[in-house]
Amino acid sequence: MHELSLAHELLKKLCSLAKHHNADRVLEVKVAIGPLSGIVADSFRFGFEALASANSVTRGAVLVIDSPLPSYKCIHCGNILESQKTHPGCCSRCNRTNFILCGGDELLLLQIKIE
Amino acid sequence: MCETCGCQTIHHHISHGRVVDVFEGLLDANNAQAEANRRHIEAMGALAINMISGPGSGKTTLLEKTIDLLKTQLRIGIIEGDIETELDADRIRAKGVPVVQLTTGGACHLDAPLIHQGIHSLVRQLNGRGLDLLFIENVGNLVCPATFDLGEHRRVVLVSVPEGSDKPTKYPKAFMSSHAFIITKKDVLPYFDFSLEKAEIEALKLNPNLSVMSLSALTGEGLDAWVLYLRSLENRGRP
Repeated sequence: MHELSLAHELLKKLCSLAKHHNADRVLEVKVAIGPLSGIVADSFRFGFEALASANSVTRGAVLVIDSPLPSYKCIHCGNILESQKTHPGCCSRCNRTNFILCGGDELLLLQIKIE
Repeated sequence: MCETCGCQTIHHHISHGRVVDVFEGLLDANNAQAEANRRHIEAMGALAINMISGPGSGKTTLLEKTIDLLKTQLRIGIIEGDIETELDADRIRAKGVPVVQLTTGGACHLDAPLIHQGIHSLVRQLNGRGLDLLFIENVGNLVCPATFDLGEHRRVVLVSVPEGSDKPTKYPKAFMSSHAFIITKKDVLPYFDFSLEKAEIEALKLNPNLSVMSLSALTGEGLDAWVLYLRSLENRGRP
């Protein structure tokens, strides 16, 4: 349920961005929510749509969610496993199990379209 | 129909807008406040530890024992986070250390602005006395608190034996973002199908830098390692 408070923060930011750019409406919002961010994209969308409709600046805004997959770098042999849907378990090269996580935890407002 | 140009496609009107690149974190406001909290805590000469776990894993009991063991050596303060009630703060207050209870009124996690309030309440209680360690006991929840930086210096995740050794795999974010992993209620190990080894291996897979400890606040087993960990932070963990 922390998705709702995060969606609320985003909408506050959108309103101030619209004001800053002398726009009346926000038409489209692009965000990146990584699968390891701790945020459930569907819940975030639900919260966003519920809250966006309550404000004339954001009503009807289309939310586009990008969910970049993480890569894992083996700390033993340096092998990089790109775009993994789940934790790889063990390294495909040296078979060991310790990785450094690269990305996948993004929580970003990337771009907006306003008028 | 598009109100701007009269075309028939639903989303066509989007193309009439101006595109603005933003590239800001959704948690920027929280993170900026967390950074301010961290500086504030450091200015007090203290170090903060954010304790995260599901409800009933023994955070408050471990804190009570920690206070008993360290109270004469270190100045300890506690910020308690709960959805409702002062129950946890009352338990800590009985130990004679400064404590602030934050009630989130339904929210599933503490955030940096709440901790900001908590620090100010604590400073009023301290009334000029110093502080070495500030423990923040988060709302009992292994999911949401992991997303929010509070301004802590160390994050500790706890799992009790009855909860099961699959918790790291099921709640990866809490383990990936923590510095230490504590397995609590070790005394009931004979009665549960809990593998200390499996829990440790799974947690280290997610985060190879985790310090892993297992203990029982009831019998005292393993508390020496926890105390040593805290003392080492106090000595060399200072920024």
